[in-house]
Amino acid sequence: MPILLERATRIAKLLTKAGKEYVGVLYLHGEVPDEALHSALEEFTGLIFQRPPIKSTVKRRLRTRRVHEIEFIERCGRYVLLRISVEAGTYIRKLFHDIGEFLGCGASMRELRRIRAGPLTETSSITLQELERAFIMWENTGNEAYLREKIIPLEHVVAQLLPKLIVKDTAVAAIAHGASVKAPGICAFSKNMKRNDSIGIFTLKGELIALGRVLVSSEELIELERGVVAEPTRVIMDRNLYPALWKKDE
Amino acid sequence: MEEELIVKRDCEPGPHGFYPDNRPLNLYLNHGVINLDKPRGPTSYAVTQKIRRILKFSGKVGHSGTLVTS
Repeated sequence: MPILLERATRIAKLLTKAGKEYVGVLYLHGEVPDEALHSALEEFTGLIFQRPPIKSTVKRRLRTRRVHEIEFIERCGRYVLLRISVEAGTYIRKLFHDIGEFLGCGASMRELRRIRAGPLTETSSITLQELERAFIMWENTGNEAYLREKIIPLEHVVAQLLPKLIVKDTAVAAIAHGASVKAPGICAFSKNMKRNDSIGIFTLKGELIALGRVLVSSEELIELERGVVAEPTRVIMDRNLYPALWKKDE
Repeated sequence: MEEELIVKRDCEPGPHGFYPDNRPLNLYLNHGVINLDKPRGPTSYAVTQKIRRILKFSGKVGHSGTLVTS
């Protein structure tokens, strides 16, 4: 489970929208031969229709979700162990139920464990005890290394999820105050940005200034010398960290 | 999304700000994400409170969703 401290709480929505990966046990309510099971799993890979379950926090209308992958791990009679990689907002319990309907015999979910949320994987996760030890180490010896190893800067997460726009130091304060990003302020940017894509706006040091939306494609940006390139949608950085050059010397 | 960048103009970072890995510890924590292996049992909220206590942290502690396995 991703825990977000102070400024990092501002990227919560981004993580909610990131792809997820699970390991779960599907329980078949009847006898199903291997071949039928495998073709059902194939049927539910790709774009699927899904109506959110009764117990859900969103409007219950039919919507599409992308199932990136369903990997069959093993099966023991009616119990089937699966690894599933999906778009955000895909209900696994519902997916398993629907697979059961497709097979005719019915099915339900018996166990589920999330192994990835965006770039945060189960293998790199830490326990409360590890966190506590790292903190106590710092308190008692002044050694920050363990704490810095256990807690990761929000930039590492965002850089894995969004294309980047990197701007000059002189443009930073304005963007941190909510101003749009203009072409002359751009130093570098990710390939393959499309118009209207969500992006991260970064400093040359790799600090996230804001989450935003790009108004031009990467291809268009190569030639662009003036005008607005992107709009910040959520400022992350402390607006006073970089000097505001439009203000008179104080 | 670790991918190649297109460089529009060569720029050098100036004296302001910090590389995310090298922020002073208080700022480092204020921009921190913990990939927590959530214990079974306590609610997500209880876990965030526990983290606040462990880190003696007075700021906001949020969590980004967990499984609804009702």
